[in-house]
Amino acid sequence: MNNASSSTPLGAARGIDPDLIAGIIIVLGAGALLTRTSDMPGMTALLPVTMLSALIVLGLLMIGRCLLRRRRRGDPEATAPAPLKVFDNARRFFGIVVAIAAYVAGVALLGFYTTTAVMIPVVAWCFGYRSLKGVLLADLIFTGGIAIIFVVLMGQELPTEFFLR
Amino acid sequence: MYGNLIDALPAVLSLGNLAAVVIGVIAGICVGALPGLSATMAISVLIPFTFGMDPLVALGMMAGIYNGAMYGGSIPAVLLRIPGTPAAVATSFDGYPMAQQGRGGYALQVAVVSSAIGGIVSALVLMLLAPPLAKVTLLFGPTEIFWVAVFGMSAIVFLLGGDVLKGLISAAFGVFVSLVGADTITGAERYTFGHLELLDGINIVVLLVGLYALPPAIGLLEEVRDFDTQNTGRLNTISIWKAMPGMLKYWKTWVRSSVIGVFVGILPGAGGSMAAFLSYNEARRASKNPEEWGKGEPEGVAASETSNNADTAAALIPALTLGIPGTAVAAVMLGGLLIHGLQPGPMLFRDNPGIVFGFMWQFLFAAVLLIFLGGALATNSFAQVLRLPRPLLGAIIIALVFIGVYSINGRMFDVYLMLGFGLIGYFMDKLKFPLPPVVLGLILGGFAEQNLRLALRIGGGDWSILAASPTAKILIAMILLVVLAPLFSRWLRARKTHRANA
Repeated sequence: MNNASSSTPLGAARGIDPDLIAGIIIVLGAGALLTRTSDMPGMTALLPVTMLSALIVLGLLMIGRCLLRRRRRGDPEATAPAPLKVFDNARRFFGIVVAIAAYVAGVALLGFYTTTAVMIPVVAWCFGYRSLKGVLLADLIFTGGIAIIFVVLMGQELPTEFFLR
Repeated sequence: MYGNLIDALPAVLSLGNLAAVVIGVIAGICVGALPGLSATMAISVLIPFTFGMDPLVALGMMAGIYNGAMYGGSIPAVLLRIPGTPAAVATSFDGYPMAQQGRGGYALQVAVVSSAIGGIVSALVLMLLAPPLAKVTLLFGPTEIFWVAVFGMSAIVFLLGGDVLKGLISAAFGVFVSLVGADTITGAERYTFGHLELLDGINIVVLLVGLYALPPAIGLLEEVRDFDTQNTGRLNTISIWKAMPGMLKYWKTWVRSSVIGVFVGILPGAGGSMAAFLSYNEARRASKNPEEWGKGEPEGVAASETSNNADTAAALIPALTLGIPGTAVAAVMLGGLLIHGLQPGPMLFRDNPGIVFGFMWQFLFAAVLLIFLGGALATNSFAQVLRLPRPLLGAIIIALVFIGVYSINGRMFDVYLMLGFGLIGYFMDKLKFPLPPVVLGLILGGFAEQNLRLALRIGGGDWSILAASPTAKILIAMILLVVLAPLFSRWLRARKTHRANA
């Protein structure tokens, strides 16, 4: 997970401005949602149509600005801002997304306390905190503390453990 | 009337009643600091246990919890950018950058002092002006409330950040999210995609946690760093009593934000989030260095926290005097009064003055206690989270985020929704789309639409009703002033520069 070589700006290597991608997604997304307003009563559709139309116009302006910026970058005389960097470390980012997805799926399947007790040490270890004692102590304090507050004091139910179902 | 206020004091000063307020404040701070646990929930849980208690003891605990939770929400907002309560979102704008700069302790001290000041002002207003102020709400129909919401949205002009285009996209996205769910007037579904869970709309906490809490958690795990836990987590604080004289320079913000908080508190349905945003915006507008806001300006924390605590007791003015709960917490508190045989409304002041005025005193004591209990708790206990190694903190935040969202309705759907907003928030953050306009759009978009529709319904579809009343006209003038004044001053500056260059 500590590979820093993958820390390239999204699309920057291929010369695609992330703002351009965002602009296209906004226009396409808002356009698709706008088609759904045809089924709504007039007053119900008023604000959705206004907001989505505004999003489309603003998205188009953003695309136009990116294209203009690109043209200016091609001109050695002109100065244009460089594309924004999206990921600090793409590999780690996707690793985190997978870990969060696995945690949520685990909670639904195994229960909250079991999955949390496993997730905290595993994620902390994988992402660089390599103290076994520290990890286990933190896990015990956090998961135990949450159990005391939510189960004993507040009576708040979290997804039930698989062995209690 | 004010004689009753003095008469109620001895009973409030009894040991049992004072202990109830102290316990309430401590419990409220803990509850507010834990994302997913709100003052409403804590008071709801408490009510069944108060059946056998003296009414003043029960109400004292409720007053303490309410005040404590409104401040407690700022602790994770400052330290982790997870607003413990929706009203603490604006606190995170400057509180979190301050924590990143090693000034988290000072941010918490400003938050606790400002919260106490807001709470004290609110309690005094509740005590002295409850009956006359309740009449103000009678001036506000749907038309005026719509304009108040539009006035709040005009704050977006100041929250857009450096890139106006991206700021406007964020705001439009926020308003759009507020439209999801069943239309409250026609019942037609809007963007529910067949999911029953979306019929009631998207809960603000789901969006807030997704946008504000998940991206920093990802950021903590994404960075490759050496984990020096000895120095990175230090709060660098001095004693709160030594720090307080230095905070006196925020007195104008405290006064302005208290007035806003009280005013918004009286309005039904508005709540602490709106108060905090309006107040943050006004303080930023009045600031000599508005460009520093959002980068760690303590005055931003002061504005937000004063206002969201000034809203607390004021929200009870219509609840106690008219029996109209303007917020969820006020509604739950009315429930608490009812189970003790106290009927909210004008008769409450005549039939049970000892209890109703005693309750007001308890609000005042709870606000004062915040400085003593909140200061110590915040700086010495909760703030230790900053000393945790970053991967461990990231993992813990992910679990806290899950709890916070799941416990709203006890369903996984909200968690999936929050993850979606988390990814959107991550990319918005990286692409420099400002997040505050999204939240403002969500809070005020639906609120404005609902009242606009109601006003039009009352006016038989005639749009001129929106400018019919004098109050509406004053509000429209204020909106125009707020939106046009900065544009005009910008134009004047540009003209001056142009002339100077020529």
